[in-house]
Amino acid sequence: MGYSGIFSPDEGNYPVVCVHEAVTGKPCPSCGLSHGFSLIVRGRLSEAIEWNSYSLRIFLFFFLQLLMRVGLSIWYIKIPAPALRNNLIAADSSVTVVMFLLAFWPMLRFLVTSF
Amino acid sequence: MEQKPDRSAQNFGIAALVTGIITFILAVIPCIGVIALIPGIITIILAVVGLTRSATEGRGLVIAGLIIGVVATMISASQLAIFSKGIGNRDNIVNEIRNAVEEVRTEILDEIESGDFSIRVESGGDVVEIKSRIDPEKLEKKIEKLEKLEGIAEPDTVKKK
Repeated sequence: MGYSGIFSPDEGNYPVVCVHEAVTGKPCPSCGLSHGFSLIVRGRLSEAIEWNSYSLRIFLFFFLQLLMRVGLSIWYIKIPAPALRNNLIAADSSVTVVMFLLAFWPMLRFLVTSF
Repeated sequence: MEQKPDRSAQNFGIAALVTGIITFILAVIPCIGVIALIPGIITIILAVVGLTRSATEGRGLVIAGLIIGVVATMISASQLAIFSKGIGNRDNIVNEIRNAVEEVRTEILDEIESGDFSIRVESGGDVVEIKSRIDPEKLEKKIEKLEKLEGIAEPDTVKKK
């Protein structure tokens, strides 16, 4: 979020370039994510989706994970019973894996189909 | 005096797990997937060091970190294969374009040599077509006739194709 906030989408002066496009000459599904994230942080959602159609779901993944990590860390510390804590860890892991698959599915599909 | 349990293996396990998860997320993003090789190797090193130090405590964490690290490094390394394939495709495209340009060039040269010209320009629905059929022998005779009439140049100076 700091990265997205610091670099302006209008100037486009991002330090990280797409290695895939630089090497193969073709854009990949993650091209335009930096622009997309910067636009989401500034509330320009429709423009962000234009830059990268997956930018919103990936941003949501990172944002929800940030909230989950902070919230659940406090919860883990407060729960004294180990059994309950283990159940919470299992639930947390499962939800995170599902969220990851939902957010990154297009990238995973691209990696698999590129072979 | 009570001896404190050695928690270094567990700490290495936590470090390997956290680095492994970050590496995994980086590895599946095609733009920066190859860069994930570096944290991937760091993850594996951390996990291996943790494994050598662990007896029983924290072994699960270390193994989890090692598995995630190895999988993430493999995904990252697989992008190198995708790159090499992409470079191959790019070379093919370049060769195809080169062959197409060469074909067009040969056709144009043939048409010029036979004296048949056809230029077709399409823009915004408008089509302009210029056709010219020139017999090279007739053209040569015409030029010679013109030179004799006007005496502007010697016949040897006219380029004959």
